[in-house]
Amino acid sequence: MNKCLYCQRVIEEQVSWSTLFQREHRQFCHACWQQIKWINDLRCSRCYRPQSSQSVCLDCVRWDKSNHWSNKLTRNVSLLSYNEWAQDFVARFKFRGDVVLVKAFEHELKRLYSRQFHHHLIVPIPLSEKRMVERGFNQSEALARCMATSINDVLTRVIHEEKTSKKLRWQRMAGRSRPFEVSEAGCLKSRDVVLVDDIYTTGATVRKAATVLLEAGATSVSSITLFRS
Amino acid sequence: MKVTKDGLAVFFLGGMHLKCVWVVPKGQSERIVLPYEYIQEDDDVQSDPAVISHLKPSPQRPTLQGKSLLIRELPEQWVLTRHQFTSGAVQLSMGISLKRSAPTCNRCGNYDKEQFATFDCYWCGRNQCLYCRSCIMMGKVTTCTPLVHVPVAEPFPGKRLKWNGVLTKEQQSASLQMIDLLHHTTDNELLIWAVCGAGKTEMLFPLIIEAIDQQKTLLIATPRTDVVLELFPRIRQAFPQLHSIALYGGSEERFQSAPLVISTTHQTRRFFQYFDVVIIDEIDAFPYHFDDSLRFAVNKAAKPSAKFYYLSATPPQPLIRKLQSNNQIAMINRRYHGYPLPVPVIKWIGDWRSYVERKKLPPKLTSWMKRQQQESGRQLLIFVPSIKVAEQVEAIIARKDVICVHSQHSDRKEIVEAFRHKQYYCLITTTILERGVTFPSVDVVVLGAENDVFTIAALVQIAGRAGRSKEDPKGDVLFLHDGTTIAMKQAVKQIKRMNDK
Repeated sequence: MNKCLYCQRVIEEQVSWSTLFQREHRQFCHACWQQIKWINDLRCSRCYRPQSSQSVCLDCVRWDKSNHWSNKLTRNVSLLSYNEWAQDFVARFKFRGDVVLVKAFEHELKRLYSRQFHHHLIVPIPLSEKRMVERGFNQSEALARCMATSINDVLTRVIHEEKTSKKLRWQRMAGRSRPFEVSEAGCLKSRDVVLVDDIYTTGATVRKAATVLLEAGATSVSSITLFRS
Repeated sequence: MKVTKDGLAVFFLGGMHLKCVWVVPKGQSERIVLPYEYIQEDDDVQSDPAVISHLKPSPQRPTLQGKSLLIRELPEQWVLTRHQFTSGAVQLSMGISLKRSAPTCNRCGNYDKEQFATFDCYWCGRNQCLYCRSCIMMGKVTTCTPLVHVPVAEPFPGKRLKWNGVLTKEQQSASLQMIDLLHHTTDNELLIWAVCGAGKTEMLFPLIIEAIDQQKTLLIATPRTDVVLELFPRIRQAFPQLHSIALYGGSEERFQSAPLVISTTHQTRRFFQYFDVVIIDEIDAFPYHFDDSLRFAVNKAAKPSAKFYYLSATPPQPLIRKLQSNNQIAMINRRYHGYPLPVPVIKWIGDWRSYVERKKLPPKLTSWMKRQQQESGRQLLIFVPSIKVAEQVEAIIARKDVICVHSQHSDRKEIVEAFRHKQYYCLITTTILERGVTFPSVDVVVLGAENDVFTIAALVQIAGRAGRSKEDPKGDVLFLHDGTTIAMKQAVKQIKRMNDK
């Protein structure tokens, strides 16, 4: 008997041809799985913001207009929309530390990486020392480990900032601080890099990380996040 | 490093997961578990430093009574000194103990292998560090997490408490039986089997007075937050001079302690052998009845010598059998106002689901509701088997003074409160309101009473919502079904039997 990774209820498997031939066992029960909102084709083609058309969203246009931030991030790809359920999920996964929950999306993350970012260097967004001590693990690294066995911890977070989730949009965009530093530049030379983070909200974090990676010699920087709000 | 003269501040300690060692401190004969940082040069160190679950030999069971907390649950400004450890004022024990690699969480009692997972732990640096998933919403317990045992001393009021209420004869005899147990040398359990609306809370008051007088700490544990929220103000009102606190998920007083604690069973996990008197309300209620780990929590919070009181209107059979032979049951068959319990009427209404699917109510229910509203003047409580049905029925009735409530509802507390103040005529609910809540004057309908969620106990409890007040001791109870079940018949039988005694 399989139990739902999220709600602990026994998963009632309805045997059909498709479940028989499924290679991966579903980790979530039907009720929990249904609450997940996958991002489909109706999204910004640059940052995966869910919207009603496939055009480039206003967010991205605004980023491009700024001299400082344009051309930092090639594109962002996200799996899920940040709905109410996702907030619950993040609270449990990130803030409470129920790390094993990423397993539910392991398959999809792996597929996403190998289909769209093959041969890219995987770089998880690091946490500051203080946050690391508080949480005991790095959620971005946990996500990155789902995609491939080798990941590259080339970034460090040197400035401890307030949680970005507590900041307003203009505060995030205006920030010129440089929280990240490249600790090992050697492997970055003329490589395509894909950053991994848990949520893309305004994209400030990944752009700040992209800035230092490009300076260190990376050809391009994209990002994969689990959620897009 | 933030090290003061005497020890380490909690906000610093909380950041690291301590490596521990067995040490015989200088000038002492017994060895103790000490965080590595506290070792002094002249200590006799007897083991390699290791995270607490891997320390050899394993730390023994703690002996300190009080609270068992995670380091980060202690007040941040506290400083833990070496002296506290060496004098035994603070003890460390394993958060997760491993017996032949089978883990047990010592905070919540979980030993189900599936409820543990491993992760890349920054704290201890191992990538196979185990954590307990069962109680993770209370803070993460890992193999490198020690539980910190700290004593809790609470001042008792100097004077004997007073309460000016009056108990009925039945209530009085039960509460005498409760006080008797307090002095009893061999027995330590008592089941108080009281019908719904017998006035269980008031019956506890003499026991509370007696226990506090003897400087005994009391715990009233209940499986549901709703019941804590209802019980707490009543007790505070009765004993304003007694320091009492309410603990439930999200309450602000979570880390405090008091001579009288009213808590959800979950929250009792943070205590360790602290209470002399444990009163468990609604012993048969979900999830206490089912969940081993909650039983573990209550037993952990109680002193080995504690007295247990179980309260229920519908006690589980095994408990009755266990306590019957020894005369450890106090029965109260009468409601406090002396009127009999309303006897439910069982009524067939056909395939009500297909009506609901077609966005209609069964005609028998509609006509009954019409009459009910005109004639009785009471509010109406409709129980349904599931959240989905609750929302469907609410949409079908579609009136401003009709609302539904269920466990997923974010304003649940407010809605129930508003219904109590008669801001709504009708409340549609799942079984979450089956017990513990009191409305002065309601009629009760169970729609789809044949459903499995309506067990004998649930139906007896639901019927017990009607006729609660002295002013209106009657009320209609209706079981509407599409096929009678044994549970329905048994529930009616049980109610009738109680009335006859």
